[in-house]
Parts: sequence; C-alpha cells; structure tokens
Amino acid sequence: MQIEFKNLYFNYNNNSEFKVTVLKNINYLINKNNITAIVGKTGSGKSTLTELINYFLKPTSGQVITDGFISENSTKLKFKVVNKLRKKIGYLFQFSENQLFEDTVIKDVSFGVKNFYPKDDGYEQKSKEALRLVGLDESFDSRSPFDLSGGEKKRVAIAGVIAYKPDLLILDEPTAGLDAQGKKEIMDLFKKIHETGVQIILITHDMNVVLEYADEMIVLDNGSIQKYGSPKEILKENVEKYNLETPHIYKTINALKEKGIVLNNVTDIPSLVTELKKHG
Amino acid sequence: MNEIIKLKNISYAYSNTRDALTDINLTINKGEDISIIGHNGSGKSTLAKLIAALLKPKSGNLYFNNVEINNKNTNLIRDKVGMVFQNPDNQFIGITVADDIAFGLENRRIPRDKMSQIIEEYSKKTGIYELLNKEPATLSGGQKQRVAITGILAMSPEVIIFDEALAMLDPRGKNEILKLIKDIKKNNSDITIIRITHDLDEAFYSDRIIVLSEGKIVNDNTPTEVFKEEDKLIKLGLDLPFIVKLNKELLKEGLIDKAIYDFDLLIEKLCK
Ligand SMILES: Nc1ncnc2c1ncn2[C@@H]1O[C@H](COP(=O)(O)OP(=O)(O)OP(=O)(O)O)[C@@H](O)[C@H]1O
Ligand SMILES: Nc1ncnc2c1ncn2[C@@H]1O[C@H](COP(=O)(O)OP(=O)(O)OP(=O)(O)O)[C@@H](O)[C@H]1O
Ligand SMILES: [Mg+2]
Ligand SMILES: [Mg+2]
Repeated sequence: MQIEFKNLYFNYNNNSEFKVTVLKNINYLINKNNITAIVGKTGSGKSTLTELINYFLKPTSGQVITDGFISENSTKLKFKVVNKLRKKIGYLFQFSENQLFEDTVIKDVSFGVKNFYPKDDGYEQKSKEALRLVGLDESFDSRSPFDLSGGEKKRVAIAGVIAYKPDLLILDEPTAGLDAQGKKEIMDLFKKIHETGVQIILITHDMNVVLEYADEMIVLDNGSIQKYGSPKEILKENVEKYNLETPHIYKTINALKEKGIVLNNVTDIPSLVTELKKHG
Repeated sequence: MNEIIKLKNISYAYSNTRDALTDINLTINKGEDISIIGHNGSGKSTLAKLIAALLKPKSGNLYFNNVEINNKNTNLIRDKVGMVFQNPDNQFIGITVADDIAFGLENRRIPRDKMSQIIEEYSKKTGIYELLNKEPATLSGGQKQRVAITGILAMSPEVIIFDEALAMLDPRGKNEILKLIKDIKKNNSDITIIRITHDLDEAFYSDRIIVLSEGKIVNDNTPTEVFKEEDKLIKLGLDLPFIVKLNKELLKEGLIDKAIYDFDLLIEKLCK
C-alpha cells in the first residue's frame, strides 16, 4: 500500500493557546514491500504520524496519501471512504488494552471481521485462528478481555487486528508487555504475515527488534525525519543522540573495534564467536 | 537483616475456577532490590497487588514490618508502599499532570505548602516539569509513564513496586529512570525496590530474582544462579540476558575460561 507524506505539518490544538507543534515538513514515501520501523525519542511524534495514516488525525497542512486516498486539512472525511481504508489497515494502539471492549475475548477479536465483512459468517473460525496464532488457547475464548493479565490483553488486541487480514499492519510498540518468548514468537508471526504480502509499519524503542526484523527505518526527532534507510547501516552509527540504544551485537563489535579487533560479517552471537575464533 | 514484607502460604483466585497464585511463601528484606520475572499470566501483577494490599488473599497471611495485615490495618501498607501500574491510564485521576501528582500527596496527608515544592523537585528529576500543566490524556506513551512514575516517587514510599512501568520509555529515558532509582537507594538504603519486568537485561542487575510460573514461585535466587538454568527458563517462556548468552557461547568455544558479566571487563579480556 502506497503511503506518502507531502509537506506534512501537524499541530495539536492548532487554533488555541495550547497549540503543540509535533510534525514539521515531513516528506517521505514508505516502501510498500517493507517492514518499516519508526523510531525516536519519547514525544517525537511517532504515534501522531501513524495516526495520520489511518485518518484518526488530519494534517494541519500538507498531505498524507494512503493507498490513493488524499487526506489534507480541508478534506471532509466521508464514512464510506474512511471505512474502506480502515478495512485495509490493522492498527494496534500503543496501550492496546484500551482498545478492548467486548464482553468476551472471541467477540472482541471477531469485531473487525464482522464490522468490515458483515456477510462473512466465518468470523468465529477466523478469530479462533488468530487467537491460536498469538498463543492463547481455547480456554481464553469465552473469558472477559478485562479479566486478563497485561500480556494476555496485548495478545487479544493483536489477534483482533490480524483476524480480518488487513493489507497493512500498523503496530505501535507491539512487543511491550510480552514475555521474552512471546516477543520472539509474535515478531516471527508478523514476519510470516509480512511474507504473505502484508505491509508492516512498526513503532518500537527496541533496536534489537529493529535490526532483526525491519528492512527500513525512519528516525524522528524535533518534528522531522532525521535519518532513514537500512537499519543495518543506521544502527552502526551513533544513535544515542536520538535517545536510542545501539543493538547489543553492534555494541559488542564497536567495543572490540575500539580495542583494535575489527570483525566483519557479524550478525548475531554465533557469527561473532566464529569470527573471534578466526581472529585468534 | 530486617524483613519488611512476608507472605506465608498465600493463595489468590480471581474466580473460583483456578488459582492465580498458589501457596506463595516469600520474605523480602528492607532495602532489597528485587526483580520478579515470569511468563505472561504467571501471576506477577497479582502478587504485586497483594503486596500493596490492593487485593485480599484467599488464604494465607501477609506481614508488613512484622505486623500481620488484616481488614482493619491495610493503611499500614497503603501509606508505605507505592506501586506504578502496567498501564498508566489506570492511574491518572487529575485534570492536569500537576493535579494528578498533588492528589497522591494529599492522600498521604502532605501539607499543601510543601506540595508544590515536592512536585517541582520530582518533576524536574523525571524530566516532566514542562508537562505539569498538560492533561494526562494528551501525553505520549512515554510521557504518561514518566508522569505515573513521578506521582509515586513524589510520595517517597518505603517500598516501590514498578509493574512494567518503564516499558514505553525510550532507551535513554529508561536509563535515566534506572539511574534515578539507584540515586534514591543511595540516599536511603532502606528503600525497597520491586521491579516486575520482561526486560531480562534489567532484571540481571538486581540483587535477587524471583521467577513465577503458573502462579507459583519456581525460583528465588541471585541473577547469576537464576540464569544458569537456560533450558528451564526457556520452558518457562523466558530467555537469557544478552550478556549471559554471549558468555555462554564464549565459554563453550573456549574463548574465555570463566564468565565475566561486566561488559567492559569482558571486552578487555577478549582483547588480551
Ligand atoms: N491529544 C493531544 N493533545 C495535545 N498534545 C498531544 C496530544 N497527543 C500527543 N501530544 C503531544 O504531541 C507530542 C508527540 O506525541 P506522540 O504521542 O506522537 O509521541 P511518540 O513519539 O509516540 O512518543 P512515545 O514514544 O512516548 O509514545 C508529545 O509532546 C505529546 O505530548
Ligand atoms: N481481573 C482478573 N479477573 C480474572 N482473572 C484475572 C484477572 N487479572 C488476571 N487474571 C488472571 O490471573 C492470572 C495472573 O495474572 P497476572 O496479571 O498476575 O499475570 P502477570 O504475571 O502480571 O502477566 P503479564 O506479564 O501478562 O502482565 C492470569 O492467568 C490472568 O488471566
Ligand atoms: Mg507513542
Ligand atoms: Mg502483569
């Protein structure tokens, strides 16, 4: 799905004394075949930027073009148009447990399927499949989504956005609150979904995740895009100034390099150890 | 050592079908810095809420400063234990950030004239001074978590529980808060810290780790001991911190002869 930002400016409360300038002159075309990571410090505008893609917010000026739909300040959003777009997008909120609202888990996950495909009577099957994929067994189906642990709620919310099989997944901090293995399993699941042709936009503070899973990254700071490109390249440089942290493996290589040991072709611990052995 | 919290044979169930916690025995000493880890749904938040007297055990006894807690004296705990919740939205009540912090102070009967000074001091420490007049609902995720943390720290509790409270902070912000916690402990070594976290790198640097699985304590030991049992941890839905994984591989390949968990020292050793 083509997503483009053109001379995009965004302020909250634009016409009042509480005006907050968040995005300043953003110009960018997101590569539709990628897993794209949006990163940057707290308050840098990541969630705001992705909410603009999904028409939750309207530009103060400039344009956001999502799948051919143009959103600008003067656009009157028609329900039909918005609905058609949202059907194609699965949006996982940063505090995703706030997006749960039905009285059972299965109803909650089914909501998207029923809402966007009212004629589809396979919604229950689709929802069950999604729940099993995020690691929740049958015993969860009839429970209330409010009576779950934090990570269980997160998994229900994730099941809810993948169940109706959207073309684009926007995931705001999808791994926060998941246990170590859940984090890996869920990221692997997103990768698998991506391989079936689904586009993914991911917001995260975890640069290890970015390095392992993303094809493209955008660094936001001070309202604009400071850097963009391949995570393998960008994360090698100094990212601390954007409040980010160099991934573990790069931190290790850099520290060794400073002491005179230069290693090539290292992507993980096993390859690091192999190269170190070669080095003697 | 002085014990501050003791749980004796505590069980808890949200519904009558299944226990969320079963037969928990646990003693926490004054001044300890403990991490509680465990898979999703293992009972960490439930345990935290029991310790903070926000939930009442189904059976068993809870002691705070050697006093048994019952229906009538939960205030003994509530005045001394501060808990930062997993989802900050559940914690906000004030119209502005400043109001919100003030509300907590009011509950602890802090005199009004002292309040603004405390709010200023702590909001500067946590980097939210500029946000004091904003509505909590209009903050970014990381800003919300900082505000929630500030609200609890400002009350100067004796026991501070962080339930996944740093998960949405950017890495630098997270390190700043970790450093702030360290400083608080440096100033008063009697402060007890309980962190519930899925960040195993963070847990690795606490004094003691408690591992929960399916409502039971399955391990309670020092971080190096806990992370020795890789297979067991993987079975429990967990993993090893990066530094432990790295050491393990290096040991296996004979590149070092004993584990070094300090990153800089490890690098030095490898360069020799
Ligand atoms: N509804 C709102 N009204 C006013 N200001 C807002 C609103 N929502 C967000 N802001 C402000 O806009 C800025 C950008 O917020 P945003 O949520 O996009 O940040 P973020 O990059 O997602 O941060 P985080 O990593 O902390 O979630 C912040 O300074 C925030 O306080
Ligand atoms: N309000 C509730 N009503 C019923 N059951 C609940 C409720 N809250 C939690 N549970 C259940 O109790 C168990 C323990 O939940 P708890 O929230 O303590 O887990 P946790 O270890 O904090 O998990 P997470 O890492 O996902 O936050 C889980 O099986 C969960 O489904
Ligand atoms: Mg955000
Ligand atoms: Mg929890």
